[in-house]
Amino acid sequence: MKNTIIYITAIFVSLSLISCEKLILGEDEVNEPINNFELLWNDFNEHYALFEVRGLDWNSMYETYRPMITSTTTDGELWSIFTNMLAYLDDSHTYIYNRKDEIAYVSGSEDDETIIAEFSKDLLRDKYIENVESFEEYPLEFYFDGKVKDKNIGYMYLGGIGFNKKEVDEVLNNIAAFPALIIDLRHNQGGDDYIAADLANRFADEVKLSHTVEEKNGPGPNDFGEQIMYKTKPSDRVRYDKPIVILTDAFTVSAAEVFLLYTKQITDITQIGTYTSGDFSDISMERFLPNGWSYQFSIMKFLTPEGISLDGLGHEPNVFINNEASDIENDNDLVLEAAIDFIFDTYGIE
Amino acid sequence: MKNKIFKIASVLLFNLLFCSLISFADEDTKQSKNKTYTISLGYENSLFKDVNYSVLNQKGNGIVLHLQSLRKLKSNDLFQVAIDLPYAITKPKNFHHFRATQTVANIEVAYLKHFPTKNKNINFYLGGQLHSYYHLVFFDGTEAFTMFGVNGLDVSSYVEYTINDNQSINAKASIPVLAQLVRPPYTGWDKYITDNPYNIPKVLTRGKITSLNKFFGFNFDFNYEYQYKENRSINFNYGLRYYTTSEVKKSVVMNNQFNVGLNFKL
Repeated sequence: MKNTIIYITAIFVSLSLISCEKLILGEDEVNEPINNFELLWNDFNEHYALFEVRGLDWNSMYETYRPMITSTTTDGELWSIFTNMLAYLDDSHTYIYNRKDEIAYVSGSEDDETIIAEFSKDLLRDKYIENVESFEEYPLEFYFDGKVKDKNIGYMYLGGIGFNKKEVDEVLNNIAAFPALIIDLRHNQGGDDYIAADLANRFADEVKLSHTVEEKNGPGPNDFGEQIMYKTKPSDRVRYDKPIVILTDAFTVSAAEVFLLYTKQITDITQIGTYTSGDFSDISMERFLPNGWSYQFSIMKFLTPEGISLDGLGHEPNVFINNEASDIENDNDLVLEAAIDFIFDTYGIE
Repeated sequence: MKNKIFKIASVLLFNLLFCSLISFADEDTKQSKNKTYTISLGYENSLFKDVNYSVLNQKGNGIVLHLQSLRKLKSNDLFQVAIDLPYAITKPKNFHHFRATQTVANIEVAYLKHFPTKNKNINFYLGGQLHSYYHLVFFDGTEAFTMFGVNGLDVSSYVEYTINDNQSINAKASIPVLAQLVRPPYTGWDKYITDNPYNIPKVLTRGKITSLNKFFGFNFDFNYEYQYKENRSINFNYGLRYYTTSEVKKSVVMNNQFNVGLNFKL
């Protein structure tokens, strides 16, 4: 019995030894400034999908910043270089994080303060919208609906694209009686594209190609998979087929912009406000660096039925109008007022 | 077209083999001599590096549940069904904030033909098994994700040695020869996944039928059994699962498991 136990222990120990990390996995990546730079630059070079459509020269980032980095480059200096490189992309679907110190940088976020000052949900609820309702599980900041005060116009604010089909049914039943609807997508942070599709299909009148998607599938600049086609398709659930105005600003982003790709193919839908953010792609998985930082970026290109990418441009509104910060300070939402006027001028609804 | 025919033929072969195994096992076990059911719990230690997920080496520790049914048929052949379900936390060496959850599912359905040896204390078996192995890693919900899935056919060998009336050891080694290899796309996520967020089986079975030129796997189990009652024994098990591929990006996964459990003999 004693010998048996010794033999068994020896076998177990031997087997454990073969789990030697280096033998199985190879050398780990070195946490050194130059290596961190090389890994990040190469990863973007091989996976980022929008260099061509945004007219970017990623090699120029290497030529500019690589010579600045040595083995003595500090974390602060490296962070500054990385954020400059990401700022060049001007893509709000591209981030870098230092999770340990809870610091993050979002590309294209330089004008955020200005855009924030040009919109107020409190002003909407205080001055313009009545009979405000929301779902218990969503904060009022994320979603509410109601009607425009003293007008026969329904109103729906979407701060994100993240509802289930039942909730969309409920909302559409709430606003079914109104002869026109305003869908407010200003400051919409996006969400899931398949939910954007379901929502748009509630307004669709025919099957129509809305956009195509090409996914990066290799390291070369032109390595993309086959085009995936997305179409509007009239929903078999609760629908709304009356005139709709969609309000947008530069914070209308991602799945909210995909929602607009669908609605652009539907009659009697008008976009009022400013250009949207111009960031359509799904975001990559979080990527990890040996220094403990991580990052994400755009991995696919969305094209209109005409084959045009709106990345970096955004959706052009049918009626361009912008609030200034001073308009909001003076309790005026000129974008919403323009939508109300448009509905009256075009459809005679008030 | 050639690839499609190969794929269909492989799926048909799997189905045929699986049905044959089940019906054969059912038929024979009615007259079976011996049935052993095992339940054991243990420690899981893993190493993995999937460049599609992270360039950093990852180490994991966790627990594992092991369940097994082993039937000795009238012919002395073996029919075995085994399931390992390890769950671990994995992370790179220096970064607690890159902790990720790692779930593995390992399911084996084996038929092993008995080959007598000169030594009556040693039994040797050779056969095949249907084998599904999934290694899934999720970071911060689904902020990052990877998988290494193999659904296929293994060649297996099994040796048991009876030390004395109370003690025995056995070992089983398997190598996959044909399998559906499931890997994430080049970009980690793609529209196939994000458009089917609740259709998990669809996502987990998107792969291509491939052979050893595209991946390598090795499975090994070693058991020591001490019988302390007529129909009950205690079991010490070491399990090793090793898989590697260069499909999409280089990926290596190794799971070591140490289990202690009970065998019930009926």
